[in-house]
Amino acid sequence: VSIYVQSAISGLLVGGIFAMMAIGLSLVWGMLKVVNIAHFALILLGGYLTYQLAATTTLDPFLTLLFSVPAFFVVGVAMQWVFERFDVRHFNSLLLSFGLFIIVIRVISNIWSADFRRLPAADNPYATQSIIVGDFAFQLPMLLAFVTAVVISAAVAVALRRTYFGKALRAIGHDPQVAAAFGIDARRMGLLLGGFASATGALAGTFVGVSSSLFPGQAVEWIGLVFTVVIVGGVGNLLGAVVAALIVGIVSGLASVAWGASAAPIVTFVILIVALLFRPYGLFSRGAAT
Amino acid sequence: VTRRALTTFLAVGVALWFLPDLRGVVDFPLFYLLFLYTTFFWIAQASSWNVLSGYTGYFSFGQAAFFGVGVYTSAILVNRHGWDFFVTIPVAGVASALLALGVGGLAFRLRQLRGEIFALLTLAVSFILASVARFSPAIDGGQGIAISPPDAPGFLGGFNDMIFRLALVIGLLAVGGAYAIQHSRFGWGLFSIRDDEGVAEGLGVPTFRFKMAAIAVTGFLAGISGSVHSLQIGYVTVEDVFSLNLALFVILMSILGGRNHWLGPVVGAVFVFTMQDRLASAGFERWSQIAIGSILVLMVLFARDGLYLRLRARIRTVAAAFVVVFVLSSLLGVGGSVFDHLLFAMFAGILVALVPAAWLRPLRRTALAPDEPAPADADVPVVEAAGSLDPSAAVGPEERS
Repeated sequence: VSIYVQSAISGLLVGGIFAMMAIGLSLVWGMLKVVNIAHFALILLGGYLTYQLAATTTLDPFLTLLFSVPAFFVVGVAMQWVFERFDVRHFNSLLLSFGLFIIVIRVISNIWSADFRRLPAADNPYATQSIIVGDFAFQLPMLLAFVTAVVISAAVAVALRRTYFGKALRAIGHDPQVAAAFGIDARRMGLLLGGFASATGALAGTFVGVSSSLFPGQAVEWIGLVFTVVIVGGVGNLLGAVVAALIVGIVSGLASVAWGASAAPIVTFVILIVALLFRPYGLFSRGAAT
Repeated sequence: VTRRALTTFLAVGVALWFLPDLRGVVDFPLFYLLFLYTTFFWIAQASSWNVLSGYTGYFSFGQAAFFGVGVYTSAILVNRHGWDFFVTIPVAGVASALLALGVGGLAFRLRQLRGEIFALLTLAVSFILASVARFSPAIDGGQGIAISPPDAPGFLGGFNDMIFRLALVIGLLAVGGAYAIQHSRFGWGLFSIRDDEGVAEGLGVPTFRFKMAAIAVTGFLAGISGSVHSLQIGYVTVEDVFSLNLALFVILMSILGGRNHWLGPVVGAVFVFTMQDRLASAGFERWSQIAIGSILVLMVLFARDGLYLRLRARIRTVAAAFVVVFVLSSLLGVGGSVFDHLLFAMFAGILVALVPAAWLRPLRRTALAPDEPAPADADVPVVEAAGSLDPSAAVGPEERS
C-alpha cells in the first residue's frame, strides 16, 4: 500500500509543476481568448536558461529568476502586442503560437542539442533534497513548485475578485466592448497580463530545470497534460486548474504504478474526454463561464 | 461533377501512371519517382484534412490518428495475420473512417466543442491512440512492426513503381473527392456550416449528418493513404506514425494553399514538401522546421485566406514569374537538381502573388485590370470571394458548366 501512497504523493507534486505551467495558459486563454501553445516552449526555454546560467556561473538556480522573469515579461508583452495588433484570437492564436512553438523548440535543440541536459549536482543543491514525513518522501523542488503554484493562483484569484485591476480584467474576459465602454484600457491590461503569464512560465521553467532533466521533446509531452488541466479546471479559473492538476497528477501517478508508465497518458486523456463531454466549462463552473 | 473535370482528372492520372515506364526510355533517377510519391502522399493527406477542417471550419489536430489507424491496420493484418496487402487498403480506410465517426459522434453532439476545443480534443485522440499502441502488445507494444512488400500484380511494376502508382491513385481519389464535394449540395452545406452553423441549421442543412459524413471522408482518405505509406516506410513505429508533425504539415499546407478551395491543399502540399525536401538535401534539416513555423506565423498574420485565390487572381503574372525564374535558374545552374529550380520558381510565383497590387501597377497597361485582386492588406474581399454561400463562386464562371 505504501508504494501507492508514495506514488500518489509524487503524482501530487508533479501535479504542482503542471499547475504552475497551467497558470499562464489559463489566464490568457480565459481573459484574452488567446490559446498560447508557445507558452510551453517558453517554459522549456526558461528551464534551459536556468540550466545554462546556473551551470556556467556559481549562481543559485533560483537566483537566475532575477534575470529570466523580467526577460520573459518583456517577451510576453511583445507576444501579446502582436496578437493584439493583428487581432489574432481563438483558433488563429492557437495556429500562430503553434508556429512559434515549433520555432522556439527547434532553436533550443539547435543550441543545446537534442540530448538530455541536467544541472550538475554541485550547482543544484535542491535536486536531491527531500522532506521526509513518516515513511514518505517529498522532493524539495517539486514541493516548492507546488507551494508556489498554490500561492500564485490564490493570489491571482483574490486579485481578480478584489482589486480594480482584477475586476477590469474579468470584465475584459467577459465582454471586451462593454469593458471598453466603461473606460477600461483593454489593450494595456492585455499587455500586462500577457507579460505576467509569460513570467509565470519562467518560474515554471526554473522548477522544471531544477527538478528534472531537460530535453527538447519534453514540451510536446506537456501540451496534452496541461491542456487537460486547464480545461478540466475551467478556462481562466486558476484555483480550478490547480485542483485539476493535483487530480490529474495523483491519478496518473497511481496509474503508472498500477499498469506501467505508458498507461498514465491514457488515463489522463480519458479524464480530458470525459470532462469535455460532461463538464465542458470546467469542473467547478455552473454554466457558460467562457 | 462535370464531364470536363472528370476527363482532366483521368488524363492527368493516365499520363502519370505511365511515367515509371518512361524510365526505360529517358533514364531519369529513381529519386524523381520517390519525390513524386511523397508529393502525392502529402497531397492526399492535406486534401483529406481539408474536407473536414477546411470546408466546415472544424480544425482538427488529429490527422495523425486517422493516418496512424490506416498504417497500423495494414501493418498488423499483413504481418500478424498474413492478409494480402491489397485487401488491407480498403480495410484500413474503413477502420479510419470508423474511428473518425467515433470522434465525430463524441464531438459534434456538443455545440461548445468548436474552435480551439475541437482542435484540442482531436489532438488528445491522437495522443491517446499513441499511448494505446505503445501500451498494447496486440498493436505495437513499443516494438514496432515490420511490413514486407507484397507480390504485386505485373501491371503495377516493381516495388518503387507500385507505390508510386498506388499513391497516384489515392492522391487523385482525394483531390477528386474534394473537388466533387466542393461542387455538390453536400459541399455547399459544409461551407454554410463554416460560415454560420446556427443559420445553416435554421435553413435546414442537416449539420450533424453533414459533419459526420465529412469527418468520415477525411478518415477514410487518410486511412488508405496511410495504408500505402506503411509499405513505403517498411518498419512502423509509434513515434513515427503518431508524431505531431503530420498534423502540423497538413495544417500548414492547407493554410498556405487556402482552405476554401479543393486546389488549395494541393498547391500548399507541393510547395511545402518541395521546400522541406530541398532544405533537407542541402543539409539544413535543422532549419526546415524553423522555416515551417515561420511560414505558419506569417500566413496567420498576413494571409489567412491562403495563396490559391491570390495565385489565381494574377495567374498570368505568376506563371510568367515562375517560367522566367525556372529558366534562369536552370541556365545559371543555381543549386543542383531540377527540384532546386522548381523551388526557386515557386518562391518567385508566390512572392508575385503576395505583393500588394499597387506595386504591380506600373507593370500593367491599365491601372487596375479587372482580374486584379484586392490589395494584400485588405483581406476581406478575397475571403468573401472564397464563396460563403456559393462555393463555386471561388471557381469562377469559366469553370462552371
